Amino acid sequence: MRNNEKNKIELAGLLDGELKDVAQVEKLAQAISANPDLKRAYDEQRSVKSALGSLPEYDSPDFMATRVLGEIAAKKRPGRIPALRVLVTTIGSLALAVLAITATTQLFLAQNQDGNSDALIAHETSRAFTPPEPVFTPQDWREITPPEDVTDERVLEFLIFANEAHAYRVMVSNTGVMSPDMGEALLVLDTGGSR
Amino acid sequence: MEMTFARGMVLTQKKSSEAPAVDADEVTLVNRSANRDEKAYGMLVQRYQARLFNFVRSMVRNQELAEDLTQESFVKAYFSLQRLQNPASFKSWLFRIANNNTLDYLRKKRLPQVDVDEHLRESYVDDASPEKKHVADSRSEHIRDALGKLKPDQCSILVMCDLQGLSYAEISATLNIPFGTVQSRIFYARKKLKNHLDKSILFGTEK
Repeated sequence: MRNNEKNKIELAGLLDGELKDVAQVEKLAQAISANPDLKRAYDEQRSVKSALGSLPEYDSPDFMATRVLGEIAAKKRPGRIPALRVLVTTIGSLALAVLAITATTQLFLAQNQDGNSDALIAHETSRAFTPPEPVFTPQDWREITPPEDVTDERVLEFLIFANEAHAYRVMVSNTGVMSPDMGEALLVLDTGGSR
Repeated sequence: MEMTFARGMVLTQKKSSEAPAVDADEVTLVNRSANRDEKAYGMLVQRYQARLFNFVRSMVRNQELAEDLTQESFVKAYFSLQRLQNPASFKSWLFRIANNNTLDYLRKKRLPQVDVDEHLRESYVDDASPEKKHVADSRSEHIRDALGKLKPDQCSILVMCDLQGLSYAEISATLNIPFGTVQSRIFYARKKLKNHLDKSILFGTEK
């Protein structure tokens, strides 16, 4: 019975001209002649194949190449930022903002020039935060407007977010002296600053 | 090679079941397309659009949907071209993308079994007789309805083999399954389809 089923399956290959072994083809052909069940199965395969082969083709749609190339060009358009990337970037920026705000409770408070004691210095670092030493005076810092001087894309997006959404002032060091624990940028959170 | 049997059954064996040789021109077009030459890719689209559309159209039974899925398949293929290791296997690779794309859609959506574009169906009968045209249209509709009742992967393999004329080697490369599996799937898919076809169509007794 198992052999009969195997023979039946090979009927498809025989019908489609896919059996390369001549001896196998002859053996199968003889089996078909001798076995009515096998012959019936072969006739069914052939009828179904013939019915499918009789179906007319559909006309392919006009301008398919134009449509395809148009969609490709649209996907390649410069400046078009995929929505997922914007979402990931925004979430990342928010996460960094939360980290910076949390870290302010451990930060070193620096007096700014007019005695405003609200200025804080924050790290942007991937390692655990430690307060910078020595004390940095306001003369050592200059305010920038991102993207000036910031090359890291992730930091830049965070700084732009902090600067625009929360009126934080962004300061970078004039002295070039950085604590070994500093990350790639310093962010001054001036809650009293005016914009 | 032909073999004649006592009961008048004739078998004709193909000379080769190997996939037909790919012309150098197509390999060049594929390589250029992989380097983002859109003109070259446009030529590839024109070369395959009819076959790919018919393949998809035979599975989804809706003209607009088939156009969209075909277009989507070509676009996906373009952006994946750099991952194609052998440019000579572009055809199988393209059909694989279209097959997966279409099957994914069919799994997510529940589609009508009946062709909704009856009024656009073509007759293959040249004779202008309305009666013959009606018979031909009805016959085609019945066969396509029966095809639509199969599971998507069964429908897909029969469309590849019996409508698109892909060889077992090409189907094997497209579906990434061995020759023996191609053969058995085709056998059982035809057996299943037979159950949905009217006997008069199967054995040519219709008038």
